[in-house]
Amino acid sequence: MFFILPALAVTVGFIAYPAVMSAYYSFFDWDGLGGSREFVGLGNWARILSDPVIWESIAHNLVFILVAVFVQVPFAFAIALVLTRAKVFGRSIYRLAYFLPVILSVSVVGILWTWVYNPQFGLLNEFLKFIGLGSLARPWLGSSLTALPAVILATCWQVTGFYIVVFLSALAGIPEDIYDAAAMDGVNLWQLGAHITGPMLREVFAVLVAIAIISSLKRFDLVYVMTQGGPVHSTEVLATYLFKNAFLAYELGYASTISFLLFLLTVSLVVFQLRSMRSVETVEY
Amino acid sequence: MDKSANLAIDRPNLAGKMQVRQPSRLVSSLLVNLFLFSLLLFAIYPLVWQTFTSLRTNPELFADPWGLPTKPTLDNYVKVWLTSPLPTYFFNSLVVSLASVVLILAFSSMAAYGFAKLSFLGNATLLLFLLSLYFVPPHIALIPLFVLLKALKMIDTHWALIFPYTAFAIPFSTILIRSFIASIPKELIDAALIDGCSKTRVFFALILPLIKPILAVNFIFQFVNCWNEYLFALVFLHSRQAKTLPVGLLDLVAEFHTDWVAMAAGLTMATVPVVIIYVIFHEQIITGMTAGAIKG
Repeated sequence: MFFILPALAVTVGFIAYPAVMSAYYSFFDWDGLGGSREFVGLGNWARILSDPVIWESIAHNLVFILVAVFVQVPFAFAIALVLTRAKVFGRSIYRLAYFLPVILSVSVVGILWTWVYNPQFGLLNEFLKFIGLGSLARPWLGSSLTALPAVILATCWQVTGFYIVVFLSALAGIPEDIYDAAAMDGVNLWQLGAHITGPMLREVFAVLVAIAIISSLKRFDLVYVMTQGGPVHSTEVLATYLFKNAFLAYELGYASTISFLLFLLTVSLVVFQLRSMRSVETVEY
Repeated sequence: MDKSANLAIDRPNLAGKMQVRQPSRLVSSLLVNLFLFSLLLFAIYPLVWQTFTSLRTNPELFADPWGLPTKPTLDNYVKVWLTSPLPTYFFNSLVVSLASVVLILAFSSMAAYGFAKLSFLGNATLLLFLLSLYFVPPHIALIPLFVLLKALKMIDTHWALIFPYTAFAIPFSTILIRSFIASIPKELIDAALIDGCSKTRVFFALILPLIKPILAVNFIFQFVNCWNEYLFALVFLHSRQAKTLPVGLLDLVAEFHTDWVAMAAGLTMATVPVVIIYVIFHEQIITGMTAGAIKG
């Protein structure tokens, strides 16, 4: 018992207790600065329902989820499959390089990508001019039309390597004779992924999609570093809006309610997703 | 084992087929390699460009953003290191990350030993409780944590990060180490206990040396996590003296305003140590980071 005490004390004090308090704060109107703390019941929830920025943020979080689930994960699977099966030179170098962005600090990635989109010397505009599409050059992060896709592209750049590497180790676990059998039947790479290895890795897909959903709903750092949710809330997500309400507007009660909404959304989406993806019969090997 | 016999016979045939289709195979293999290589360039070029830029001057950058450093200079590095608080941020990041990792390893290996090898009342329930904390997102604890740390007068000190970093890493780290300790044969521990070792001695003299590999994985990957953490650092630290690199770098951007090449030097200095650690220890880092997804 003595051995687990320190771990228990720290986690209860700095995770469990705050998480419970967050629910408690959500019933109050409170600035956290020692001002009055007024009980408002479900008032904060009513405010959430009528706050248009909340709905905008949820919509943006949804876009992040859709891109993660339907672009990043399948793309990563395809790359991992090609890396595993095709004749590739320097396989381990690719693995090393693709994972590199994952371990970089988000502020480095955010600042770097702000420069890629910079209207004065940005790499993207220069590249467009170079290939003769100079008319498309624009301040990507400055326009509410292009800011969200721009931030999402930067996110893809940073996180896709994670999925690639997980798929690589999952594919390495598939017995060689399955590939031999497939090769004998003259199966090409596309059929191999879509009909053989893909279905075999259903569990891995389920876990990665769950991770994709959770991390897309939590998305804060890159967005905040690159655009702070602007221009005019066009890249606002729940986490940035929560942060602004808590630490710029000092609406601690309302912000706690948003954090709870975020939590409920995460739990319900992931439970729904895991149920629907795991219920289907898995292939044994 | 009919199947393997078939395979042995069929293999030469297969090789024969491949030779016939060689030209088209060569082209597609070339295309695949080209595609993978351009993706590799896409993954690392921003960092290469940042390094190139840090060796140039602002006029050079504006004249040709994609250009190479033709007359490389280290002036930007000297300027940033001497005139900005970057060294302080470095030091702070190092202190916070090291202290957190030491606490994480100490607490979670102790807990893992307790959960795996000692029987006490509520063992299973407490383990389940710890596991459930793994799923609590930092966002939901953020505001109450701020209030708590303020009451403890820890805001703007390194403790404001060390305790939350430790807490949030413990559940996963404990689970990881526990499965490792669980595979140590019970007989080994019993033998030590019969010889008169105390449980504490068993932990230090027997368990710890045996779990070194998983501790190494944990050390490196938790260090990288702490080193990069942004949200807590943004909320709990306010002064230059306390800030860690991720939040400090953003101040640097504001400070050097339009001196892009100087900022590039700052970013490069912040990135190079991480990249070096990554290249040396990538197996440990990748194992640690993907363990959650692979074990599912």
